[in-house]
Amino acid sequence: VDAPDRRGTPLHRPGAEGYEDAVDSVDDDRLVLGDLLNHVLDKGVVLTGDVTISVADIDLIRVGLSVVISSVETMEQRGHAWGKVVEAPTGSARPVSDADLPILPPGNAG
Amino acid sequence: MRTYLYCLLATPADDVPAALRGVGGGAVRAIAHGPVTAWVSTVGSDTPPPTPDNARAHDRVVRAALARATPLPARFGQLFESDDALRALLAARGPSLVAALRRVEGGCEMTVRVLLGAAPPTARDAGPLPRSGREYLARVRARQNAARAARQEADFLHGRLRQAVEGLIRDESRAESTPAAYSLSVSHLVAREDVPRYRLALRALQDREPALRLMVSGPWAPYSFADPSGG
Repeated sequence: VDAPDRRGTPLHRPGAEGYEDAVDSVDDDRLVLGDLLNHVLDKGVVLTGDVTISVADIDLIRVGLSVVISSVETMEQRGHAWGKVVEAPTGSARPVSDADLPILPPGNAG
Repeated sequence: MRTYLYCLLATPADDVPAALRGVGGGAVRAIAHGPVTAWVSTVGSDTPPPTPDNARAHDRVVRAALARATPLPARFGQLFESDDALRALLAARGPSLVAALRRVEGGCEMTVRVLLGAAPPTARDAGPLPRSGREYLARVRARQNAARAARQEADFLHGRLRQAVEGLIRDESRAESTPAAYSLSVSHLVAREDVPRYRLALRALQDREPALRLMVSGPWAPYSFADPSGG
């Protein structure tokens, strides 16, 4: 488990920035963003008790996950096969809100 | 000015890429305390807002760390008054952090999502208000039945996933499912060298069962396996 030669083992195919899968890649910024938010905002080690997750942040996590689901459904409707993820994202400087993200079916947001 | 934390690594880990910039554009630097090294940058005094750019900047630094050795990724938004304040925490929690680093060493996280057949109805889906107590209770029961069915389907799919990746994972973490996300979401801790085989195993599962609505993302830093008290 601790073999030193594992350090730096390449994980990425060139140009894919880590978002890829068993089949191949497709572009979907929302999907990447949703998955990213889900990992970065909701998980990871917490060293300080000062991390206050506000109600808005919790909504954000939930929205992030919902984005993943709805993006996948959109992909499906566009005829993409399953088992696909995703190209690297582009940016927006605004705070994430529902307005940035796909319309969720009523009742599925809460 | 305060110190923003991205991830922890086993010392030595002071080879931060020179051009690496963090949240708000600050240069990323390493703070070592004994066996644990933190990658940080200096930010203003307020917690950075969780914008898409900031979340990506956070993960970009974590990813740069992952490219050299597996880090313990930090949750977004942790600020310390000073480098010394962070050092004091690293000192206080050193042994548990070392153990947590050891658990993820040489690994990375892959996340699988499987969509369930249908979204369980929620209270707001029900349409007009129930006209009687009996109708209300019938709706509650229908919701509970649907939620139970979704749980059973998720459990079943979880079993299929487990079979498919057996021998290729070191740990797993299943996310709580909510009515808002009618999916099974499982993160796996996978040894770096097993990632191609892991992908092939899931592809084989998808080929065997084309109706399965399966999606894989990764490799991530082990966000879901970074809790020092876990595992």
